[in-house]
Amino acid sequence: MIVVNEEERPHRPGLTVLDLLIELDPRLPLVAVKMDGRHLPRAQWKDRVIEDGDEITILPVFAGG
Amino acid sequence: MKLLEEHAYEKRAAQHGYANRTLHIDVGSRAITEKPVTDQMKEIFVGGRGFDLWLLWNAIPPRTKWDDPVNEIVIASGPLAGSPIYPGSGKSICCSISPLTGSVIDSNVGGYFGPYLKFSGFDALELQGKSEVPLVVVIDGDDGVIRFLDGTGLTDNAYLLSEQLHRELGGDKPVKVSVVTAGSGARHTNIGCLNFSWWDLGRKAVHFKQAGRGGIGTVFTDKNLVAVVGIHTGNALKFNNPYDSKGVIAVGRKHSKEIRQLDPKQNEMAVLGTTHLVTIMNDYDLLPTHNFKFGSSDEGVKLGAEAYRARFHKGYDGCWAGCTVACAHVVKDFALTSGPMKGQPVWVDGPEYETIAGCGSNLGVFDPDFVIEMNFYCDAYGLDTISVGTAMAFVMECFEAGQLTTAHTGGLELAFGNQEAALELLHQAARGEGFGAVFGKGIRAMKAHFVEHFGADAAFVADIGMEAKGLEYSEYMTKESLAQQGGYGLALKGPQHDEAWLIFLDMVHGYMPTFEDKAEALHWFPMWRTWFGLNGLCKLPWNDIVPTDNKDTAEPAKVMKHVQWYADFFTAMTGREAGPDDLIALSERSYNFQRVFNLRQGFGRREHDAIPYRSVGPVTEEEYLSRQERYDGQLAERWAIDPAGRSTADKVALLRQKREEQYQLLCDAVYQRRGWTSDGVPTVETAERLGIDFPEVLEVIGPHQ
Repeated sequence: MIVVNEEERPHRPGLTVLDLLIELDPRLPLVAVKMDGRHLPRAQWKDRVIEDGDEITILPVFAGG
Repeated sequence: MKLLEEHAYEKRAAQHGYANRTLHIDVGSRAITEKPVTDQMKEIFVGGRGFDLWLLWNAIPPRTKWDDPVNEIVIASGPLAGSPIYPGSGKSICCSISPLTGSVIDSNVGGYFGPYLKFSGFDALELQGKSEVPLVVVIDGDDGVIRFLDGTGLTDNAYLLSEQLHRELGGDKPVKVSVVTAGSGARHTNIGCLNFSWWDLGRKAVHFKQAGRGGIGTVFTDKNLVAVVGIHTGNALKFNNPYDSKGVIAVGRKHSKEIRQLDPKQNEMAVLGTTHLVTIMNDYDLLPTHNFKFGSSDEGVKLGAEAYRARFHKGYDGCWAGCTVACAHVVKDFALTSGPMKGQPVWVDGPEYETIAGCGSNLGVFDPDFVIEMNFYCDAYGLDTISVGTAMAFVMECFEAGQLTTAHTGGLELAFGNQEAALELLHQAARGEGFGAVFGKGIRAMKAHFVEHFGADAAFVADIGMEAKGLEYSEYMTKESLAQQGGYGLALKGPQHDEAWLIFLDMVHGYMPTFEDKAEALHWFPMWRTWFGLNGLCKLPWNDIVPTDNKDTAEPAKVMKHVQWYADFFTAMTGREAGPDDLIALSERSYNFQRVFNLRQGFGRREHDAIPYRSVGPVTEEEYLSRQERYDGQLAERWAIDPAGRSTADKVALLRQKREEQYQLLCDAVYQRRGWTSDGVPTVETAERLGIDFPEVLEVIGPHQ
């Protein structure tokens, strides 16, 4: 299992962070992703494979400033 | 410190968030005057920044210069300030005539001074005149006394002075003291800040936040003020005497609870402050690097949250009691590598995002310890880290572009990334010596100086010098967000992001496709953000921690659930019924009044909303080529200009023409939405609608209709 925004989801081998985001909602106003409590740079979304047990938080950030 | 004079005053408890009285101090004659807060002041100006503006307007004649003795520093909190039950309720708002802009500047700051001032019996403090002796003013709310102390011989290092005054004046209760100081850098430059302190009970140390923008610290030292001290024992909600205490407690607990639950899962501001923004901005090409030439760097991550997670000392870091965002943060026992305190271990407050971007990436430096050292000395010298960072980035680009040489800089090799030279320039500025004395006057003055004395290319330095209205830009890239170009360019005081921050909405989410959409955002968001300053609140709890279901709401960017909570808070504290729309209407009054104030100072029209082209698009071919695919695509798709076969210089010029046209169209739309003339002046109808159609306002705007 993986945990996405505190909800458990089945783990699928080979699924990348970018795959997951597109699958959840391609229109999602996301800008930041935390993986296991650390910010995951956008450049890594495409290649970062989600492992069984990973916890992912997707943050729709509107703030700044 | 020798007591020069003291005045007793009648202590009076606040009612429904207001002390109902303001304090005027002539620091030259040491005369004090109490002024009543009228119902009209509350109705129209609410408090905080609104009171500042009204008091300053009435205290100075038109076109007052910053260093005229009649100029004031006005410091106010607001009716909701000093409520430990509600997160982020410890703000003070400072206003003055700025040495950088020549017009009204406002700057908000945490720390305990504003609440202590109110609990001592005053909603606002006016400081006018100039003292002949270095002066320490103490407003002692415990004893009901205002003391004037001779500050001769006191250190001008804000870090050391704040600690000394907390201990000397607080005795065994240093927590009851809050100190406002500037420093030697403020005295020798135009970019001085004010430090507002509080006593950290857990660590038994002093910390401070800064009212950084616009050189108010410079005005402070020009008045020969060494420190202004507030003393009050206790910080409980009862000191505000709310209209409905249970209502305040209920909504405050609700907001605090949500923050405690969600912040650890979102941006961890209670652990990392605003440092989390660095990598996010870097991801989206928004982190200024090399004087805003670029928006990202492969090295950007080195300055990100993880670097500071490892360096921040663990502990509670609210800049006002009870705040659950608690984003201040400190570095313990930092060993300085340069300057007058070289080798000494010190506490360093921060750094926050702005300081990291300004004194780090924008200088081409990606060393978190360098940023911490810059942060420390800026605070200790009383210098604004944003103006220092942006001005130094300008200098570095001028140096690399051959507009400056070591012959001009006194031998300093001010190339991007040169940490040693950057620190030396900072120390020189604080001493008012060498090239540092030129640097300390700010970008607008440097542009003129470089052209006149160094033969610099006037057009080039105008394009790359990141200031508007005379104020240095804060640290966000705006090239790809027309709305945020307006957010900066149309901000009343100059390019500071606390008025509008629309980049994600505009650029990333694409929520504002039309000029009208952008104009609507440049109405609602500045008005909403203004409201925090009227009330003595921090805006971070509003939208830096958001409800989990916020993304499913009709307007997620507004976080309307929280806006409603703030309306409930306002109603419960003051007894004045208000919903979200009412709060916007309240802000409109002070906002438009400030625009009129700018006009009275000789500014406040379209020509003063001009922005440097570096904030709009690529100035150099190097910049264009670094994002060529993006810019070529825009020429083709937005304006049907085939980039094929054109030189880069040609494409830079074409893009510039189009983008500058867009900015003017945006100004048109925003002026119309705000009820202003095409020259950016509030119309008589707008003044009447808002109830600010005082004779003296009509006299100012009348000739511009």
